[in-house]
Amino acid sequence: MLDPYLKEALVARLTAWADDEVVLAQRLSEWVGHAPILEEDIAIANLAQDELGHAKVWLELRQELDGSDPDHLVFFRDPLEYQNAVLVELPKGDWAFTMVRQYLFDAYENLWLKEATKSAYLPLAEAAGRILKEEKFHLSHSSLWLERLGQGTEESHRRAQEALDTLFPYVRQLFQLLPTDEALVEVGVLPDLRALEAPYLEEVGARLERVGLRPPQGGYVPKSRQEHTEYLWSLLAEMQSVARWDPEAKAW
Amino acid sequence: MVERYWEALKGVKDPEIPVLNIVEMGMVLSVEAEGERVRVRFRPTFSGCPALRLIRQEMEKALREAGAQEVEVVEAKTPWSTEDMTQEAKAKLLGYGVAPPMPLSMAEANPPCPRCGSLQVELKNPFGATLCKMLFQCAACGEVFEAFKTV
Repeated sequence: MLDPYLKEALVARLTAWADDEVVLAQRLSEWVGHAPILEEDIAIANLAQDELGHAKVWLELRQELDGSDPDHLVFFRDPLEYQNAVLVELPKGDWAFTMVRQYLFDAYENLWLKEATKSAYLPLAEAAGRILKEEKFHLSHSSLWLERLGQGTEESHRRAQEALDTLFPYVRQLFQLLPTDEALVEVGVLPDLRALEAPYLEEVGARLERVGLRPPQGGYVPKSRQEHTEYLWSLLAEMQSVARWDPEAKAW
Repeated sequence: MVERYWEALKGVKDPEIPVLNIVEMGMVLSVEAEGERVRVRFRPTFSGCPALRLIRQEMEKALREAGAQEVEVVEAKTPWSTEDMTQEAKAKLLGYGVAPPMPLSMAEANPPCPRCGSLQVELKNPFGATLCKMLFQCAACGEVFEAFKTV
């Protein structure tokens, strides 16, 4: 079992992961009924559902540690309590923006989840194994889109490059440690995310280059997961509205 | 006694693939009975599966109809794999027009067309009408078909 400090640290880490998934799922779901073609409408609904499922996995692990209620955490926390990275809260933009973001996020998930399957905390290792199986399909989907957009038309290339210019600096936030992460890394519960940044940049950089896209230099990287843009407020207001109108509801 | 509960669980279908029951899907890990108290360990297939709640309700209903007074359904955390599906289940999928999952060692390979058996198939989309399936088209016979994801 984990000592109280590690437990608290793991609760914070699980919350950060869950919040990334919840917020991204909400952004993806905004496309449902609006995607460019029917197959993609279905695909994006699948993606949203998967990410929400993954949030559930992380929040249930948290529940085992501190008894918290996953639904309550999702629907009754205010924006400043959300621990998601800025990358996932940015508005969905055009299709290129959504797919480039998805590719950048999928590549990150596939990388760290693979490391997390070796976690010394068995429930985390198992959960990572489960989620990784599904994330492989996400990455294959978004990689194909990256290729189509990068090598499609002049317009698709321009839009993908613009999306990349905006998004890329935010990706680097994903590899930052929370203040309490260090202890988890030391005991082998959490993979050292900082050490994954270089392999990520190499892998993603190579793929971007193959499809004719260039990651920008520099750019602003958020300093902590307490930092948010104004976009998170409207996203959560919409997502939480039904639950907050009727907090006693048992079924919707 | 436990046999009876296993039989009851075989009556619970996967609502998204109604030709298969949850036992042949490999979702039920164990059934323990103490008198009229039944404890089932099961694991979901895909973590975002929207049918989960319904499946749990159906399991409980089936077990009560088989004589259980108290039912406890425990969700196991160990990952489910398509390797846990029985051969019969895979054959049923094929008959249903869905390409069954490939052996795990061949997870990257495309499945043959369930209609004509050709290997000349093209992935149209890694996502289909449900989380567990993807979409292919056969170049030989033109059939657009769903394939169960190999996980």
